[in-house]
Amino acid sequence: MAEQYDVIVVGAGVSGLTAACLLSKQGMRVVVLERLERLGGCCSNYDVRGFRPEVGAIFVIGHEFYYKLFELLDLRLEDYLDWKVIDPVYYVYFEDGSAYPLPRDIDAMAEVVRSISPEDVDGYYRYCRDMGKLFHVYLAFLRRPLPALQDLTSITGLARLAANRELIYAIPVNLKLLFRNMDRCVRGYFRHPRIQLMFGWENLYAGLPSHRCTGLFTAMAHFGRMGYYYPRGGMIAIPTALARIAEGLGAEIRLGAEVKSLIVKGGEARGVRLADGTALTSRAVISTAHSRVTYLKLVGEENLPSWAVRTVKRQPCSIPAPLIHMGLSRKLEGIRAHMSLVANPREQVDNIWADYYDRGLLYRPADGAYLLVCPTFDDPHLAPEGKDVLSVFYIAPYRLRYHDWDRIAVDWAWEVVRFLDHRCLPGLADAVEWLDSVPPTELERRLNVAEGAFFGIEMSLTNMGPFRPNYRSRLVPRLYLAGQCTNPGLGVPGAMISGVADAAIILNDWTRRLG
Amino acid sequence: MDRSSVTRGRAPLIAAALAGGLLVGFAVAFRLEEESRRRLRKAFFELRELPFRVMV
Repeated sequence: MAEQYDVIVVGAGVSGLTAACLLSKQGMRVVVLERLERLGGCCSNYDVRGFRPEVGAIFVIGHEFYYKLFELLDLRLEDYLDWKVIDPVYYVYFEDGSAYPLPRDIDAMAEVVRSISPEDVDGYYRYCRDMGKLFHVYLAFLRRPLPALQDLTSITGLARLAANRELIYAIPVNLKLLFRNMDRCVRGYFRHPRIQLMFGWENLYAGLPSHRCTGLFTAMAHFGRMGYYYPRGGMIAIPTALARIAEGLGAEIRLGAEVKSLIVKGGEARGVRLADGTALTSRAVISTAHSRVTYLKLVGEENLPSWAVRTVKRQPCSIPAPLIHMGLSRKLEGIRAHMSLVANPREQVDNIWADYYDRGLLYRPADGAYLLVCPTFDDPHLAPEGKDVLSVFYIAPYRLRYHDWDRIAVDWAWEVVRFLDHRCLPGLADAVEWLDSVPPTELERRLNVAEGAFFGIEMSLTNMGPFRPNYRSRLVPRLYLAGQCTNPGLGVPGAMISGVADAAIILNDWTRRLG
Repeated sequence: MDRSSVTRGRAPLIAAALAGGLLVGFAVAFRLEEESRRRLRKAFFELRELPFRVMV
């Protein structure tokens, strides 16, 4: 019997849509199935009474990569997305009430460092020089024309892409960062605890405490200075643009189509079964869900060897990033940037990880560290006129030892709001018109991500590279994985790269394995 | 004397050294702080899982 589709993509996140665009361009019959009624998965916005907060992803780093993706599609990025650079990158509020901007300009930032700790200025310039080497590798990659899609997975194609002089200069820095933890790297550049905190809290994105996080994340603060970008219309503008392109190329996108299971015949993935009972057949299936969801729920434990079930279950998730979304009835003067960090002394921030996260305890709001995101700072259209959207990210465990998230989520959120009102945003509590507290358990239900960890699998050295789930499943032929749980992991461009890789691998497999 | 008999002659010494090493290892592990012990356990767990992760 002929298959209804060449490729079925499970999940309309950015990775799935990227793969759908590229495969449709090659003339394949592609269908994208999305459980929710909106596009984007973790890279999306939802709408409540005109307030449109981000679901998960809050900015794009290295937006130049998108130009390369659009090169593969023979399209112009400018026709689909409009970017705004985020500047200042952050505002940092310290515990004594002082606040500092982190501007993009390197010399302006040096002045901020000087005002806090003059002896760290030299370390700051050394930091910029080292991280600049990594950034130049990235820029050199951007200058090169991409090989054809099917050559992207070949060793010669990758070597051609990677071969540049900047890479050689960056090898020592790369090795230093790779084999040291982030805490040690940051201490190697800066002495003052406040400066260490300013340049050393991005481990939050890895979902690991700084002493367990690879030093490569030290570069993030510098990359941010080179440009954190925000698409006009919110993060959902990215999947919306990709969906438009995919549909234009002939792909079918179905929202509200929940996949119940994969159809596994003779040990191979041959299609999917939807929640309404409909069966769709295909020559290949791309799953963008978390690897635990893909293997344990969609494929089913009965179709896997017991060691594989055990391994998938045991692979650690990164921490969840619980959220509090708020719609504010007026604009607050205290909000001075798109993103702000409300921090305590560095030791206290580390204690949150060691004492609370590892042991499953919830801390008092005053002991926490918070990332505040105000998307309306750069795009006022994401809230009704004269109003603001504010989201608060914080660190908290998935399982609480003494509490139940579902019972305490709202009270906890209001405690955090009152704390922020007192610490740095006077008038916040009174201005809250609408509040949505999204603890890890709720995040898991809404986005179908294991343990509410939308950063996917832990970004430690033993869970990166070959130790992350493979693009081409080694357990189920004709099944391909994409998204945050695969390589390179973490972030919107990371997820999109996995979509490009899946498309390239499927194209190469088409006659050899999928015929 | 051939090589195998030399090895056999040294076997008790090697066994004693291994047992001593084990004892010292346990003694050090028991004296570790809770945080260090947790990190060590995690490191052993990760090491054991690596070959399986490559196959998924």
